[in-house]
Amino acid sequence: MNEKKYKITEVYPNSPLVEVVCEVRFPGELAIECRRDEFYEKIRDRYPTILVPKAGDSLSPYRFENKDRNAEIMLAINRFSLHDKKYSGHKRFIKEFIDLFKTLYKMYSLKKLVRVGWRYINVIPFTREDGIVPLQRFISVNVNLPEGVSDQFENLVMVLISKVPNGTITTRIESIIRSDDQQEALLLDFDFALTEKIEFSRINSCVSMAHDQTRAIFENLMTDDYRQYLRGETI
Amino acid sequence: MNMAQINESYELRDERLGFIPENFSRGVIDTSTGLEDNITPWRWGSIIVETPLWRFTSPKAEVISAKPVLVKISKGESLFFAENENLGIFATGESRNEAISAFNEHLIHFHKHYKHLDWNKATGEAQRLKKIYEDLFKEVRHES
Repeated sequence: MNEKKYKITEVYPNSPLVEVVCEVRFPGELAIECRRDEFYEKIRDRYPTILVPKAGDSLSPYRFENKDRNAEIMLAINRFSLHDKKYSGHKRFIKEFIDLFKTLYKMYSLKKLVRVGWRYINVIPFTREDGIVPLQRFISVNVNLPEGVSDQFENLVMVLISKVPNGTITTRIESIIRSDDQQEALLLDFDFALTEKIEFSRINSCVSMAHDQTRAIFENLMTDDYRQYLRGETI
Repeated sequence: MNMAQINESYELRDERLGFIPENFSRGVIDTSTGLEDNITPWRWGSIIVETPLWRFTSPKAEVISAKPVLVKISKGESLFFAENENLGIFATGESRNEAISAFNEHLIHFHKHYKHLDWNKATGEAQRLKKIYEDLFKEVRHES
């Protein structure tokens, strides 16, 4: 039913996305630490700024940031991720991720992947209605509350970590308030982790699947009214 | 609900989240894509925030819209502004809530005004606004 509500290629003009992350994890590979400079040489045109971790351990990632400071790569001995704060659609993002990953894979002869993750972090500014967080305007969460517990939330924080086929989905829904001018917002953080049946030869489809699953959660939660706003169909 | 009460609800929530028996831990580590500690802290938002509104209330009336009304909220030196250029509404207040309340009052006032305005007397911009208010807004409560 929800598949008809959106196209997977649709990019919303009023998207609440503040960060998209795609990550792979693998058993620790020391060559990454020893020859980090070789990887940097391959990406320095696009990600020239190096951010060295404060903690001096091998598990803390080096970061390589682009010139506009809205995208970065993180690389540690056991994981690699691409972060985008100016997301313009999954096709371009996945292509960039796969290109970078292939460089990494060839350079360090990675043996195995243990996790592929996709994360959407959204921030939706809201205005209270009668003092209540207007959750139902934005998302449909059908939680059967017992008598005596109202769904008129003055505040909320919810984190669900759910087992799904071949992985885990972490959903975080929380009301937040900005410290400078007290603007409130809903933080919607969706994170799908594929932990089974991951193969190098299928990395493309693994990443696409992680994306599709995470997008589906977002779309399944959105109300039709809010989707109208996302599409720019406003007064 | 005023700002002090809203802030109090956040403090209460954080206090409850902070409590956990001494010999327990939350036990959820290393599960997220892009570890929290490693995600570059981002500063969300600019000076102007856009938020959708569907329901407009005042002590005397309530109006709902068929489409989301995009309200731009900003903070000046001493006042907050809530505005929608398409509807020609520019409201101010000493707090964010006051600016939104003023926006609601204006919208309800203009809805009533354009609803009762005779089509023969409406020209140009007034015609455009009358059409918007008639087609897309509906009064659901009115105290005479």
